[in-house]
Amino acid sequence: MPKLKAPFFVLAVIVTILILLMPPREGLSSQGQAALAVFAFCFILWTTGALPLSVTSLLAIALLPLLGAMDAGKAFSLFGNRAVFFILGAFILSAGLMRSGLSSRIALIFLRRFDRSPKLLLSGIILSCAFMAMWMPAHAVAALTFPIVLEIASALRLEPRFSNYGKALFLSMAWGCVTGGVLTLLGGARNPLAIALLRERYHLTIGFTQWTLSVFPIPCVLLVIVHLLVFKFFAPEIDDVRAARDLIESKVSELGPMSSTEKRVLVIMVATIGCWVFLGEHLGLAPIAILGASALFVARAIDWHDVERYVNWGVILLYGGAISLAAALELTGASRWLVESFLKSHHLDPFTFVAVIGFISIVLTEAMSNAAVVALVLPIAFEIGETVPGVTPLLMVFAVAVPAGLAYSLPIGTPPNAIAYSARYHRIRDSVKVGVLLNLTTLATFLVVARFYWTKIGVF
Amino acid sequence: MGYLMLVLSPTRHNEKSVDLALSLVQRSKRPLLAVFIVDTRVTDAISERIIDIGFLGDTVSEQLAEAILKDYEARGRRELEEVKARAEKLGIECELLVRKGDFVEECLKVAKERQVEDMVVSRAERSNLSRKLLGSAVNELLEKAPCPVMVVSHSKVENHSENGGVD
Repeated sequence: MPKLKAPFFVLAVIVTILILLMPPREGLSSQGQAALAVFAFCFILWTTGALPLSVTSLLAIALLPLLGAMDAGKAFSLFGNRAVFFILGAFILSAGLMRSGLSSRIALIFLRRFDRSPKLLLSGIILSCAFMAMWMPAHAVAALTFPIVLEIASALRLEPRFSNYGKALFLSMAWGCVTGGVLTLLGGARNPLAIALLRERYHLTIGFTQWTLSVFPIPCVLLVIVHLLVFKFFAPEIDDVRAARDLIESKVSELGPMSSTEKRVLVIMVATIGCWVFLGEHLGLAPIAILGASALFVARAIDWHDVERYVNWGVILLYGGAISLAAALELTGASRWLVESFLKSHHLDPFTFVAVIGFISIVLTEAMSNAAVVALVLPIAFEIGETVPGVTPLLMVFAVAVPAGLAYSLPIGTPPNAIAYSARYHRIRDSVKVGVLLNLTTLATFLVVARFYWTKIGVF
Repeated sequence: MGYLMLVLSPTRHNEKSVDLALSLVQRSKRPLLAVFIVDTRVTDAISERIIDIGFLGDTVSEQLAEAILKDYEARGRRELEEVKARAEKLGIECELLVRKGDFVEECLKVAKERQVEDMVVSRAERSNLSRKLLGSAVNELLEKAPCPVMVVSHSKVENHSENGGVD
């Protein structure tokens, strides 16, 4: 076990035992107490990363029945939730995009249209990353764009740590990915997870189009803000990007014409997205995702070996465990007891609810996985939301899932930030300085959208 | 006389450490061994995040690590050439070396192979608590180094004349 992590694991075990040994509390059943203990255990491990996220989730599924919080059959059955299969299909589709080289081609073609000036090139990076993060996980977009950006920085002979333009290139990449990732259900698996929790509790769902239509003003505004802040704080010290243009041109030439595999992947991807948009409500998102993923195999665009090389199966464990934990908190009354015990004297209005929950999600997501934030905060937000007149279940989902995806400041917040930081062109204080402003703008945008847009379209 | 080894890495570069190394070898008329470690600890940490949090497979993290290490290596060669140019101006004998691997292990290997007499390494300003909690490769190097190590940060130079000791 790596240094630092063992003490946190011990802490998690101690806290779990202390909660289990706590004297009975009014309104909290023994099952609820056990669920709360597992919640605390997961909270500590997910926050500190003492164990891999997926292993913590797996432990949650095992601990819930072992400690008596939930029947074993129920805990394990939640693992087969349809959201898990939607995420699985989406990751396989993303593997097809990467394996075929189509994703790199799209990135390069996009960038070629923006390579005329330093600022335009930054816009190209922000917008291409945001665009691609709508259709595949933002982490994957950062991973495939990073080598291109690194080569651009090298071709332009930018000085690591000192070049403003170097800082701007990598931060634009990270922030483009982060911002675009909130717009659809494909950018981050936290969004389907939030919908899964909504379905488990309220038997409601949010369709592919409905999600995008509800959320779109937020990334649109944030993309403008990202541009403004990047240009203001990292004003380019160069005025010629010919070397970058030559590099992009040569890379596009190297790709040659689109291969038949790329064409097949493109057709399958477009058809799958079309089905999600037009047939999603009738057929369900998960079956379409699985059909799309299967079509890649039928079309011989990928084989199982490719999938194993591009997807980490821990993703299924994480989401399965998170859904089981959320269900246990609700079914045992633990989340209700928690909220009533700590918030009974506070009366929130809907707007304050959105502000507080959004703020908590933004702060937590800077320090832990986006999905873990949804898994931990949404069950509690559901309970609080039920005590606030005018708050709908949909609002609770958006109030947690959208800010949870918008980690701008720290490399530990989300893989795109960590990937960008690994180039060592910027220091942490560079990303924090502007990232905090982006965090505040995110919250402000979020509240304006809630107040003036969501009230109009029935989310509020 | 044995080498004075100047250690640079993608995350540990401070002009002061280069200045110090050059002035020391000039004074003692020893050869300088400038080493750039392409530190795989950095890419290992990124891979861990991509796999554990991003849930992408090994191929993605391997491709990413390859791109990062290639860039670090090119950067290292440039930095070493700059050190060599400065050394030559001062009439100092200077040898360059690029190594890829774990920062501490590679430093120790080179020190042993070349029978290094002193090391100069730089590090970022951090609190001792942070180093204890989050770990510090330079502290690890100080514990294991077979020779005195001078640690240069922005505000000070620490001379660790014995293993683990601080002057």
